[in-house]
Amino acid sequence: MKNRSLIVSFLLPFLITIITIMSFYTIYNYFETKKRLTTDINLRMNSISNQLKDTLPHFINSYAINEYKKLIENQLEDRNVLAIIVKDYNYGKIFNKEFIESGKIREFDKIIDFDKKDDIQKKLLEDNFSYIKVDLLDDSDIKIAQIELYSSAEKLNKRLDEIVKKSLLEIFVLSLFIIVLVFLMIKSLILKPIFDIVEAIQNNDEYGIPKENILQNNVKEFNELSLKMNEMISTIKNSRSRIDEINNRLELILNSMSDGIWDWDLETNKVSYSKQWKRILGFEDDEIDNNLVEWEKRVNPKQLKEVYKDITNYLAGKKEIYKNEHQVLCKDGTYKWILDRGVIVQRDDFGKPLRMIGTQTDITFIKELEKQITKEKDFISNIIDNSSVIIAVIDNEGRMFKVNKFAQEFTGYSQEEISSVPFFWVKFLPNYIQERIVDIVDEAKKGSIKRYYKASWFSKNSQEKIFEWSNTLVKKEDGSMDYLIAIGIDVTEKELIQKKILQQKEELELIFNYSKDGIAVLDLDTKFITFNDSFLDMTGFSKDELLEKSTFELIAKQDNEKNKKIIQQILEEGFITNYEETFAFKDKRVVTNLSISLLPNKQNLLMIIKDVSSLKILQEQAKLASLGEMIGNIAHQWRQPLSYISISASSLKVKSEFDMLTKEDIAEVSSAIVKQTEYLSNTIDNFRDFIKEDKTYSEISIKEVLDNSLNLLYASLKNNFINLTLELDDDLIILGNKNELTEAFLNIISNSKDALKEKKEEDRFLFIKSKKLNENRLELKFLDSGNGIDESIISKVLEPYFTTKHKSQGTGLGLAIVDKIVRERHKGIIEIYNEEFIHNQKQYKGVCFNIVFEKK
Amino acid sequence: MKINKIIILLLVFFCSLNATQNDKKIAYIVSDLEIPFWQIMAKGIKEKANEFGYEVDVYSSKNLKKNELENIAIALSSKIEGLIISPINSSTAVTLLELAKTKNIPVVVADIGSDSKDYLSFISSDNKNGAYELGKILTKYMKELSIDKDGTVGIIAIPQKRANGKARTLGFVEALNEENIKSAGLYQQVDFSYEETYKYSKKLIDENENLRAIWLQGSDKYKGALDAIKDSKKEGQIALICFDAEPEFLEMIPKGILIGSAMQQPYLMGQEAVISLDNFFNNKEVIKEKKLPILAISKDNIEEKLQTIKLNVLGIKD
Repeated sequence: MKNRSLIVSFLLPFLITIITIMSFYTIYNYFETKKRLTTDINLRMNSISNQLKDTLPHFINSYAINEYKKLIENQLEDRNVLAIIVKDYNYGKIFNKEFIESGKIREFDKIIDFDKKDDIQKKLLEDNFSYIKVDLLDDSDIKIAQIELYSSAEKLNKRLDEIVKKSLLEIFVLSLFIIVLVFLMIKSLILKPIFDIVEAIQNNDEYGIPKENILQNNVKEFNELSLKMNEMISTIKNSRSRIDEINNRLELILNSMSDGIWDWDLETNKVSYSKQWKRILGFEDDEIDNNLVEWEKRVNPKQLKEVYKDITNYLAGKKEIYKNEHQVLCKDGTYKWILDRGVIVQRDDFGKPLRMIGTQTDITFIKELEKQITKEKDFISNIIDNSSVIIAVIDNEGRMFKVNKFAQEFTGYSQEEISSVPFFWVKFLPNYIQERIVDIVDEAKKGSIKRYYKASWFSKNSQEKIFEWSNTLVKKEDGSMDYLIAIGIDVTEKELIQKKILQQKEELELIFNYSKDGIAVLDLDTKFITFNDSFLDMTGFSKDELLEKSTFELIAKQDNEKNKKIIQQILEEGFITNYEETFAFKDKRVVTNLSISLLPNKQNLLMIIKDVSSLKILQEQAKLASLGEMIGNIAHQWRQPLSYISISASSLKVKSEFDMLTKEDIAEVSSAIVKQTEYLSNTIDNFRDFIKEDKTYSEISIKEVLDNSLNLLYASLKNNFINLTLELDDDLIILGNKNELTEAFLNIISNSKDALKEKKEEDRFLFIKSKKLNENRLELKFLDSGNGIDESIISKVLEPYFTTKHKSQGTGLGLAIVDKIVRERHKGIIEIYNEEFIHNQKQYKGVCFNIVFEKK
Repeated sequence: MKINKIIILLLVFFCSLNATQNDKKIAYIVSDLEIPFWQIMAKGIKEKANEFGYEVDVYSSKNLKKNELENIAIALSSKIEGLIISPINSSTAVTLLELAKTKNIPVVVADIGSDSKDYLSFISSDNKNGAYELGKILTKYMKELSIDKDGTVGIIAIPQKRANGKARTLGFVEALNEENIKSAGLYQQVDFSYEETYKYSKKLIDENENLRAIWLQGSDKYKGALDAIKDSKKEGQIALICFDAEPEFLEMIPKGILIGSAMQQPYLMGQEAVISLDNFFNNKEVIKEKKLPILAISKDNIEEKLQTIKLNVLGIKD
């Protein structure tokens, strides 16, 4: 049905009425005016003709042609007059004509001279509205002119046109006026109240209920309508208010539930989500539309299929309730675990589900907790399973229902086997416990159990391990045993070690008590704390006397500073060995070789002291032996030059006896003798240098020291037919003591010489070779062909008093001195080993002294 | 015989050629030839027409409209080729111009004027400027006598309906206003008679105690004014100044009986009318309206302008 505006409905009849009335009025006016104007024209024409009849004769008689033309023109100002034509008989006479015709005519709104030949003018005259012809007579009644007056309908038509136009205008204006009037009236009396009502209704709240009451107005009927509507609105508002109240309560309940609610119209897929539903995902109420897609697009895509499967199964009646746990994407981009539950609340007549309502519970925390618990459980399980501890749980029936992996591996039984039979585990226990197990269990059931004890377990293959057991009894509410947790720490190793330590302790006590070396424990101030009998004997003090003393009190005071530094060195490095010190004991001075170590507690020092007074004497002997050997060497070296000098002198004597002596001979022999004596002098210098007690350190050339050493030994080696091969291309300057190093080299070479003496003369070889390992290191290798040293004792050759030689040959100190000089005094590295080599196509074996010097 | 005929025919042909060039007939219809002004103008027309070789028929209408119509009927029927009119008034000129137009005859209006503009040329005098110059003569005279402050000037005017009358009054009053000389009043002539002139002069004298001059916009009835001054015993106190000229003015101005007069040049006007027609015939430019200067004559310049006055104003040839 087409709606028609109220204004249009009102206006249309009004307008039709007005137009009809106005049309009748216009037609009447038209004809009335026409009639009136026709009369007016006729009257006017008669009037003009009368005026002309009076005035024109004067002008005609006076031949004032232009004047009467003007007069006619004036008359034509009246728009009713179309034309006035004068036939002037007087004027005609002048030109021998009956008359001359002249006049004025209105042609297209212009008054122009009449021209009877003009066709347009003729036509105009023929179309005249009225026509009057008047004869003009002079005083003697002689016709002097004739006037023809033509009237025009132009003015009449124009007037009638004006009437029509005016009437139309009036109709228009009146219609407009009425339209406006009716419009205003309808607007103010009808529409305004209606619009007010509509406006009041449109100004509604979210539920479509008008916020304000409808205003009162001046129209009674609308006033009543407004009142009734206001009553209705008031009723609706009250109802709404009650609904709101219920809703608020409901919402409060829902909010307090902390679960989100969804309401799914299965027909339209329109879903209403509660504020809480949106809030769980971090959204404001207006940020999520009411459709299924809003939920669907947020469900973890990997889980969506499973969720729909659950929903479909529920809707198909395959499940009692729809319930699914899945992840839903939140506003901040994270996923929350959601427990989604729903039920069908509306079905159609055929049982088809139409509406479903459900809740959304945030179970992220629970999930996290589960995860954490699982993790913790795994962690604990891992610890339990992978620790070297037996963890076992026994129920009150004696069944070990839980046993860790370690226990399973150790016993050789699986969890199933162990837990299959009550008291299966008893077989792991030693016999003496097995016998008592019934009593123990009975005690445990009563809540009494030994908490800590040590006991062995035996494996399937009878392997024993000792465990320290810690038992925890978990009781029921009635105080009886629920289950027992037994934790056994494997202490087998510990037990063994303890045994070993005990053994070692006994051994050490034995060593301590029965050692020939003095052993003392000192504090950091070197005060004696304890000592063995050997040490007490060495000192000559009583036990009590010695406990009152410190080490420093037993040594020369001038060595105090040095010894303090040594103590400091011990504290830093942990130990010192082979340190020689002379002690002033109770009634004797004792030269000792001592080692001091810092004990692990960092508070005590362990001193092991050896009386080397006799050793010192041996060393001096060794030195003297060296000197003896040196003298022997000198003798060897001197023999040849002395022989030469002797022969030369004899030769001069013979030549002198035969008077064959010349000056040249004297000069030659004397220079030779001088040369030989110089050599002898040098030999003496070398010897003197060697025996000189020079302890100073200076920069020395290894090669030079070796050359000196060889000089001293050269004759000796030659006399013993030892082939010396030197490859001393490389050298190194180090900070050292020339004499000490010479002594070391002499000892090494002498050691080889002694060994080579046992060999055939042709097999006596000594190779000395120097080789730079890098800028600061030089390797010096002494290799002989003296068959080497027995491998079993080779590691001991550097120890003092160790000798393989015959008593007459060595003191057992030579190589110990080498070791001391090279390693301690010059910080070199000495290595001794047997080497097989081929020389002159013959296989040899010998000892190799490999020394590495380093420039610090 | 044949040769004689040919010679005669050639002569006739040449004679006819000559006749075509000079035998043009023009007519001059004048309102009243008894008036010297029109006589002088007719003289100027005739002499200039003769100079150009045109035949001139002069018709006087004796101030009667019927005569004027009859004159033009005759003139138009006498095969004229040009017409000069000095109509009775500007209204009758319209009828004359209409009638001439029916025969396609070019018309020059010499003075008076026409209500219709359907003419070839209109020759007239510069009345306004002439009157202004005349006014200057009078103001100069009054200032010399120191009567310019209190003295007034009375005007006896031709009808102010006429364009020339209006122009004269405007020019003259402008000159008086420039010197702050007041007008004592204006009377318009109706019949241009002596009595009328005397009567108006007397009235001006009687009504204005300080009247010091009378300006007569015409010339022929100056005696009326002079007599009125004389009868009022104001000779020597009230000066007379005229428009146009009478032969006796040539003596009266130097004597001081007449302070001055603005003199139209009718002889010159007549000649200019013929020149306009001649220009038309010879397809030369014709000035539609031509205003000829009016000579403002006082005793100061009469000597100097005498020859011009005699010829152009009075038509006197020495």
